[in-house]
Amino acid sequence: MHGIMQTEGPSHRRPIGTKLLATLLLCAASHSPAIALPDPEDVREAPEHAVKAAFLYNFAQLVEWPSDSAQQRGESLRVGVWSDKERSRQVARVISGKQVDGRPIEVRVMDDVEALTDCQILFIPASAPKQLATILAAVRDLPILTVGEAESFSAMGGIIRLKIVESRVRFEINLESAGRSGLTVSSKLLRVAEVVGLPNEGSR
Amino acid sequence: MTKSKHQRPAGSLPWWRATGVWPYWTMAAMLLSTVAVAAHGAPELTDLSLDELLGVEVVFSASKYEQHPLDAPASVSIVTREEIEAHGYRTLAEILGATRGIFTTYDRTYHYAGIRGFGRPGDYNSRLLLLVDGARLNDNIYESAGIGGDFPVDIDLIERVEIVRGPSSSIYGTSALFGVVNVVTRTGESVDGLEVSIGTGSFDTQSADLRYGMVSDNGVELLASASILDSGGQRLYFSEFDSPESDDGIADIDDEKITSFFVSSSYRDLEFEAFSSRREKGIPTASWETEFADPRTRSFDDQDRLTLTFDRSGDRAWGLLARASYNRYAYVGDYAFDYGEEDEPYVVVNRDDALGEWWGGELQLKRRLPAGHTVLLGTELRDNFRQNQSNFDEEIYLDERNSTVTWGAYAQGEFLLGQKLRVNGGLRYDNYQDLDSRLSPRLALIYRSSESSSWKLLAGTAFRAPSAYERYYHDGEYTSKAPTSLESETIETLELVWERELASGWKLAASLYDYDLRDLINYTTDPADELLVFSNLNRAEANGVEVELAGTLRGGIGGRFSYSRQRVKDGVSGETLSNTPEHLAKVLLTRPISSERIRVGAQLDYMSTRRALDGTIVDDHLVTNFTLASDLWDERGRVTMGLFNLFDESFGDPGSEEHEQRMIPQNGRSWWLELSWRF
Repeated sequence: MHGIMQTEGPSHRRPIGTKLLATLLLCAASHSPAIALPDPEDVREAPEHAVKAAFLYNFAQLVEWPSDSAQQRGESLRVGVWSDKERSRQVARVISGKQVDGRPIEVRVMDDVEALTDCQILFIPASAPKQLATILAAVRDLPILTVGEAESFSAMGGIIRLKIVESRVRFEINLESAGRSGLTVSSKLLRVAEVVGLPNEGSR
Repeated sequence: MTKSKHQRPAGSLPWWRATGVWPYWTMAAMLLSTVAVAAHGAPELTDLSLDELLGVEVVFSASKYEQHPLDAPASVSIVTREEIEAHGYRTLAEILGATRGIFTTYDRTYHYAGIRGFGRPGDYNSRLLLLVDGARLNDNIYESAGIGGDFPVDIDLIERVEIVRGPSSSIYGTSALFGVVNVVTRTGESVDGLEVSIGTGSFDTQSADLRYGMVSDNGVELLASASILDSGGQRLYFSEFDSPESDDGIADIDDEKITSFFVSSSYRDLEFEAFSSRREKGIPTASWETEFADPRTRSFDDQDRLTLTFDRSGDRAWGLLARASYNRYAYVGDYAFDYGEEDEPYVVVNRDDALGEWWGGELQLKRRLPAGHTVLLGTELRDNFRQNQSNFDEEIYLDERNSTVTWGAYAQGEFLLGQKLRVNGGLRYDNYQDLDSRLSPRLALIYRSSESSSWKLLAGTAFRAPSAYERYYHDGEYTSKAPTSLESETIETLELVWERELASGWKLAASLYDYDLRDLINYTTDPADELLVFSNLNRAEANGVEVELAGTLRGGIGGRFSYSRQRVKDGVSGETLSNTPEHLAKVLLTRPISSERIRVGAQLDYMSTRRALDGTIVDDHLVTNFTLASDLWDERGRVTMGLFNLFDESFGDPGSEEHEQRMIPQNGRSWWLELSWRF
């Protein structure tokens, strides 16, 4: 009985396997990746940190800094990432060197509250919640766009909070904080943002 | 005894089948095409408009496919590094044992994972497929997957563990019977610098790890790690051996020594990984009728692997993965037997020796179609060029050398039918030189009833090919013989899953499943010659329900609550199988204290009664663990403290055929302290 199993079993199945493999290979060959050019529209999924970094790039283009500020001068547009080297590299990988109004973006990790005036955008990842209040207080009246992830970020005076809603990145903007920092947020950005604080009358 | 190798007559096959070059040729041709793909630029996220960016889905990784858990064609759990640290897990077995529906059994030599009520101590986890960074770890002698001290990667190097329940042979082939566990390791970027950890704990245990990680300006990542652990082990009492001539039943040979090395490096889409590990364990249970408490009775497991992976998938329209690996597994089991007469002992150390070496190759092509459909094609090859098993002491009982080549090819497609329904189907063909080839289909219907909830209906089959051990091992026909014929065991499953993301960020998951196992390979006695032999005898049926609620409460308190009820019955007698707890309940809590500097974790693990092999009942148990982790000096240092089995619950796991004991005692209250420092 064992003998029958061994000779008839496999021979019965063999053609199916061969055909299947041949079909697979034909498919693979006819859809040879060398001919197909990837299409930007096909980016439908990406890691969270990369998508958020791309948002920072968009913010840099759609927010206006006061023209007389010290930050506005200088060769590059500096994005600081608070205290998280890994995150800083991830951000750098996506946006470092990209141009905004002819100025290249420079990403650096920051961990000194005193030296924060050196950047235009300060990203504070969720990994650093302890110093959040201190950092936000330190840059409160400076023309620095603060972007964060903590749940209480906007309530604590941060300007843009990134969040995940149904697997997609969304953001809320605290216009009151933006106004205090002297930043002008483009309507294009406001159109898709969740606005959480109204601007003071005097700010704009 | 001579073994028939079941060689097919070569003349009846086309040349490319007969010579076995077909799979190699396929691989080579497909590898060439990778070069062409590598030359292409990919679309960048920064090229997208704001509106397009808002539409990009944030991905969660799950094995061969990256997708959102709600869309995954299976019941998936992910355990992250944060959770591993928060609960002070020190083995993969502890990580798995804390996830819903999984329980572990420890016979004080190896750990066994029980999934969906089906826990077979003695199966060396061959019914579970274990992957490290997506590449198969199960060896080519026992098809075993080491999840205890024999898991070759240091726990501190784990980034996350992905657990996919249910059969996955439609993608992975053999062994993916009850589930697939993929361990994803950290990168050089994540370690970032030099890190040293030292630990100490109960049972005279000490450990030391050294890790270094970096990423250069041009994007080359490097990670290197070395770890050692030395444990004196527990002093154990076995009532079965309580007599003056066997030390009153006390064995003090539960010692364990582990060394492991790990290196990985990546540049762009290319990843290199190598690891080597050795674990030595004293066997205190006097299994296989060895001399009680003889310190020479011990096991050694070595695992080495080199992999080179080209992975260009992720968010691209075309994804390509190519991997080549060299794998080695060596096992030595020393067993002290008394061959003497009653009053004249003559103890001889018998040695079981196994050496497996194999080359592995894998190629996978993924195409995302514009309408959201995805097609995956792949092929896999295993060239088991060395499968040696021997057994000897004063004479040689077994010297078996085998080599086999197996290959498989698979296709999986996911199609969106309207906005809410997706169909995911897969089929894999596996070819074995001297076993029946296999076709493993799987079908999943995923209905997204809303953005935050989904229903999944999953049907699939999977198989496990008999291992070289089951096919060829014997002890010279003193007590066991090799089977004349042994075929794969199979499983057919049906599962309904409901998952929901609640507004508060909590996730709810529920599963209802029915498993049907056939031709289960079991060790049995042949009535004709009274010799033990593996055969395809048993049938089993398993069904049950699992529920889990996980999320974060106010104040950062994280919680995970799960309950499973499961039944596994012998398909013939209708009796409940041994080592099947009907109820499992787990509670995991973590809480930050003083703005996240300090985190405390608590874990409660309840397991109901199980049947021992002799039919008696092993008591239920509730084990409580407590951990505390704190950052020191501006996050340069970190201290972790764990108290395990806090209330010193006395419990045991059922023993298997090789044990005299009906129940193997488990650890009582124990502690662990670890200090890490970054330079």
